[in-house]
Amino acid sequence: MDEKKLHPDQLYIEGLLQNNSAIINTIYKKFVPKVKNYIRTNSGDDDEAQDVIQEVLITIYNQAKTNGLQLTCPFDAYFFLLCKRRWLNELKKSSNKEVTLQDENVSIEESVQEMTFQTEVFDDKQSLFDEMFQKLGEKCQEVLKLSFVTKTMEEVAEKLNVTYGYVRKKKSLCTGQLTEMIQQSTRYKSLKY
Amino acid sequence: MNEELYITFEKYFNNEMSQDEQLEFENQLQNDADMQQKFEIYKDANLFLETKFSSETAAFKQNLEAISKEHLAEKVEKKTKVIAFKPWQYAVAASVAILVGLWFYMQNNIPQYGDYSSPETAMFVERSVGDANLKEAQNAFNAKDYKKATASFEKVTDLKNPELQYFYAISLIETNNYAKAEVLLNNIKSGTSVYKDKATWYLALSNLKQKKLEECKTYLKQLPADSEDYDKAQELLKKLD
Repeated sequence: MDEKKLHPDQLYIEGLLQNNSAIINTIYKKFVPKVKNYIRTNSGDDDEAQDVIQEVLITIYNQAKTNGLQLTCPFDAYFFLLCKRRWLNELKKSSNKEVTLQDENVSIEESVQEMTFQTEVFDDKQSLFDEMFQKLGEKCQEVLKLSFVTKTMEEVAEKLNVTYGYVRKKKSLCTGQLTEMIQQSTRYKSLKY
Repeated sequence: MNEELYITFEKYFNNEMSQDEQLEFENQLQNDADMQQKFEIYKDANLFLETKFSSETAAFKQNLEAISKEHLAEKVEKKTKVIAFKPWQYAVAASVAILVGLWFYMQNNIPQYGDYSSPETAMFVERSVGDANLKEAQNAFNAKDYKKATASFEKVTDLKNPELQYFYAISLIETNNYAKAEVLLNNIKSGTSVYKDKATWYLALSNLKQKKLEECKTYLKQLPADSEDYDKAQELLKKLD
């Protein structure tokens, strides 16, 4: 499918996707200390590091689950760059914080930059969808949530005490509403799709 | 909002159109850029919601949170273990330490397999579906009933997965089936899975258990410095020398 070669570290992506505790632990032992160290030497503490790391791992999981994620570079470099950039963004946001950066001027391999970029684009999109979902009416949120948590639309109808036909129509209209809110947002237009 | 449009989308995704309807729909889609964009977003929204509300996603987040906390706690514990001693207490502590050390030294000159083997909890069966033998093997393994685990592993038809091979091999070492265990471990060791270094470590421990100390040392020396068991391996090497 893709001409680019899959990196053997894909096993970490699969491990996250399968919620494999042994692999998640390995990630924490092998790759996390370096990230923590970086954040600690750049105006952060252990708790902040922990949050950044968790958010990045969830983003990787989401991307793998939603679109599939084919790793073409070492996991270590990819994960580190994602965490680092996320932390720098955090620092920028809370600008009242005194920022002292210790940046090692290493050149980053192209494949790593490309993978990181892909994941960040995915994350931007994901957070836009999430933001818009929160803006939907309560009823729509409930119907959509139920139609993905519940196995069949018949069961959803039963739970909401409405007819099957109604729930199906409601689901498509709510998704439609979400679609239009996303389409009209300025953020959607600036997404690097 | 054009409600009809989204009802059509839903019909299309659920494969509820006749062939003619479908052709017409696809034709329309190709000639209408705005409809195309809505269609793409609609599709992505479905994917987004599916991931967001999947029970697997919830389980992953929960597990990640727990593992993350564990690792944070480890660090904190290490930091707080500093106790101030008065000078004379140092002297007492030192002599007690020497006595205790000497006692241990005389007790067991040769380090034991049991001191070093601490296998992780097996978690290769996530749901109740799948091979019942595997589920049994996992339960027996975690209950440290290695005889039963070995018997259950033997009944499993597909043991190609390195994770399964790894836990099977530990069960075999525990039940003194060294030859078979070492074949499996060597197989993992030459592969690329995350169990690669773990396999080397258990090859060393298998030899330790058989009192083949030279072979044990050879494997210990092969463990790379970034592997999980490196520190334990160095400690063991020192004791064996």
